[in-house]
Amino acid sequence: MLSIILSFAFWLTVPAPGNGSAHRQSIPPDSRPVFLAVMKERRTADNSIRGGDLLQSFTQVEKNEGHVFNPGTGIFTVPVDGIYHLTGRFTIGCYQCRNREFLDRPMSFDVTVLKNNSPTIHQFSFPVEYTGAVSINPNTRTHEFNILLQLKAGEQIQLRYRSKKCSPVKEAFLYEAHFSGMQIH
Amino acid sequence: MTDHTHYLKYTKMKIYLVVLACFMIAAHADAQQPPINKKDLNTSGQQDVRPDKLKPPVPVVEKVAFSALLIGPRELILGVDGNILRRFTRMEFNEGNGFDAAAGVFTAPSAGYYCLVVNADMPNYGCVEDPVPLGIYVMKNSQRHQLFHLPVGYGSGSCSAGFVTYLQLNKGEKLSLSPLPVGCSPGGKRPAVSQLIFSGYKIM
Repeated sequence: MLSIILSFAFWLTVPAPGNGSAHRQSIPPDSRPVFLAVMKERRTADNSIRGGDLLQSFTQVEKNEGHVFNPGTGIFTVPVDGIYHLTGRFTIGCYQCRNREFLDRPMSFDVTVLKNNSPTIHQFSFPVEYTGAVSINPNTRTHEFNILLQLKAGEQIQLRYRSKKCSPVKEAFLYEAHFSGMQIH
Repeated sequence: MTDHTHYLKYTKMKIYLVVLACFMIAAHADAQQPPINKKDLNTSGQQDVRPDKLKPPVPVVEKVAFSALLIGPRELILGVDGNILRRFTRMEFNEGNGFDAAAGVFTAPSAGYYCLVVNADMPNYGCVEDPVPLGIYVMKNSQRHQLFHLPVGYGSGSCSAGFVTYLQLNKGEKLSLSPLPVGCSPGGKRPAVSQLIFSGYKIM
């Protein structure tokens, strides 16, 4: 009886071997596809003449579980059927003009979510702000969209942005972009 | 002789008493430990639980996700439709069947934490000198719960704005959107949406 109690007490005091290291290394089999890519480079947004540019050549990939995202092409390839939460974030300059034409027809920064190279209903027109030459505030603004999409395995999602400068002295710039997504169900 | 029978009588009585005592002890022990039914035996090493004594399991709707699309233009007028965004054009998906597109109401199929994603596209109905927001209340059980002020552009063209928020809901709690439109003065364009997406999902 005493030996049973003693061995039980001993079993309690000694931790099970190899418990900690096994957890860190193995990826749980039910892990979901997740990606987060960043483009940190000043690029022109004066591209409406050529119908906009695809958001490509990401400079950093923070996360890419399941290798679902190609930072070169900017394409997210859906690994399994499901519902996905996608986020796009754009930091743009304040290149709006304050003349008659642009008070009536202000320039916007437009983002289109493309599925298999075709536009979806998810199209965003982000406002471009005006700042005067004397402004000491940061001359950038960040806009973001979130969408939920039901997607099928193999479908390809990418982003296209389009804008236009309103004056030769006010260049339209995109400074930074984030594109991320994860599977919900 | 009489003595002998008397002695015998007493011996029988003693045996009776002993047997009775045995029965009582056994009965007492039985009362302490319910009889083991072969049906109940399990090999898990856990205490026996009769399956028929457990409550029937309530099915929990774990996969909940919806996306409702309202295609406009839809003028936003205070008081119309009980001040709730109703009459959605179509459902993109409705896992868990929580969303009623006609009523514009989401009813939580199960308790948990939910993420809401709302996107609005508006014709620019603000004015340069009088910028206006599009207020949207998230209504929880017909009560104003959270308010978001979305920026509205000016001039021609359109603008997009949206929000993401998180809520804890009990099963059966209801969510809807209530617009708080303001037009710019004077003679400005009327507040409207060209497209609105009301979507959400259960996180856990």
